[in-house]
Amino acid sequence: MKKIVFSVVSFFIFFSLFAFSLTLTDVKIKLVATIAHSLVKKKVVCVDLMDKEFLNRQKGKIDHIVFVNSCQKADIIITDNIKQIKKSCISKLIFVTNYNTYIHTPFAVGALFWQKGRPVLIFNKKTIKAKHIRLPKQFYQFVE
Amino acid sequence: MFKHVLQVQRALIFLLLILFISTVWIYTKFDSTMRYTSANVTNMELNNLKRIVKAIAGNITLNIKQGSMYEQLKYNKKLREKLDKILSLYVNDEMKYVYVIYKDKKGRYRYLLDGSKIAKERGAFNQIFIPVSNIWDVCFKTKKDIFTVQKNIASLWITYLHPIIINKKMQAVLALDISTITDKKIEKSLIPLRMYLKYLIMFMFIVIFTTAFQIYLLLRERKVSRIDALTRLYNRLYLQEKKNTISLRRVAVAMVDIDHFKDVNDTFGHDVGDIVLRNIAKRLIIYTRAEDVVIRYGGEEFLIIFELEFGKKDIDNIINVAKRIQKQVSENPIRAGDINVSVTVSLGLDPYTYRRHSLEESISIADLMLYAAKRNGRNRVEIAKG
Repeated sequence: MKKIVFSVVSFFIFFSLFAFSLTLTDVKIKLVATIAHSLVKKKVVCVDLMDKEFLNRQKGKIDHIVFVNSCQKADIIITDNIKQIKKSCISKLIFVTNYNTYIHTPFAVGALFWQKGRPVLIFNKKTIKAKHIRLPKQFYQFVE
Repeated sequence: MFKHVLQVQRALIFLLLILFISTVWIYTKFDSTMRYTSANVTNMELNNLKRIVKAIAGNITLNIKQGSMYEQLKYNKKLREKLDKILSLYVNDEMKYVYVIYKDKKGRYRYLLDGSKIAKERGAFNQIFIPVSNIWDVCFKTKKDIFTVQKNIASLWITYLHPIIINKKMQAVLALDISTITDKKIEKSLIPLRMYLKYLIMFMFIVIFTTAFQIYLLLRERKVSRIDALTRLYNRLYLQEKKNTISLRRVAVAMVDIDHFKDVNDTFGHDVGDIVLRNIAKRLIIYTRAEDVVIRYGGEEFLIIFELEFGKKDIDNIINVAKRIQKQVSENPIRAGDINVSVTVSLGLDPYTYRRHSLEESISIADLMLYAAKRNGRNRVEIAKG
């Protein structure tokens, strides 16, 4: 248990330390990239960033992540409003940026958002299992 | 007058330097002063927080009956809303977040209550909470108040934790996140002082530089005004200034005059006359030692103040130097363009300056000897008697 707690703590301290040596945007990109590469086993992962407030859309390829405008081309969709997603994209990996949206979206893979100046990361156990996703050990403690 | 101005300026530059160094020192110490002030304010804030958390915790425990706090809140939405409302009363610009966290059976931290007014910031009941430091573990373990001063969380300064214990059983932790407003206010209030010091240093640097430059100009002007432009020898102004510092016991005085110099000017013109003057001046410098002083005393008249290295014993040497000057000048004509100009010099020497009352008296005697040399046929050295 202690090991888990410490790995959680160190994981977030690592990113928190990054937070102000880099910018918050840099940290968010790093987090998104880490999550995306954990969920999708591709060299370059396409991300449709629908929640523009969460992260300023980046041009080009960053950390082997390509931000695309079409949910159909995307491997992962990041949104705060499920209604934005086309029906044809519902089966894609969906990450939400709001806790309220997360609890009302059972098919969301997880949630990533900032609350009280701290990052919050949650993975949905049922969806992960249903989509046959194997998470790295470092994310086990965020599975609900 | 000139001397006084220089003294005042030197004193001023000295004072400014001291002021400049002390200001730079204060400026360099500013960061540690700020840290010290910040630490004091943090302590004050912590003392204040101790009282507040006790009051809030007291309010919460008053509403919780015996048993598990989590169980009661889980099944009593109204109680949750009531307690959330109580917590929200403490939320303001400074006290940014007030919330209660509990530890579930798996050891994960979850929200019980949250007084946040902004929906996006409010943690839902039972929502997972991810800590960014280990103070939560420490608080649950020690059951004592603990705080952390953070640097890595945006706009948060202090996080203060207080254990909620009901019937000797640890139920949850009350957390208070204090915003950086107060800290920033202190920093902001000290910025003008820092800026003032910065500008003061810059101003003083400019003043010191200007004053130093003025002193340099003054010294250069002083040097220029004491040097004869034609021969580059010292002039009488220099003698005037130095005469009081010269020890009569250690000097001998000689007056040198170019014989028939008017004829040189009349025959060859003033340009050649100037060349002759410059050449004689140069020779006087060459034939004397570095510690001797050669002054252009008048038109074609020069004054030599010999330094007696060995006191009276040196008098014979000085006489020899005077004779050598006379001989060397008469034997070596001066080259002025295409022509050779043969000139001679007459010298009046007073080697017994130490017996005179003043330098002026010695100069007068040397001058009398010079006239004697002129009277006795020129191109010769006349030596005063002791």
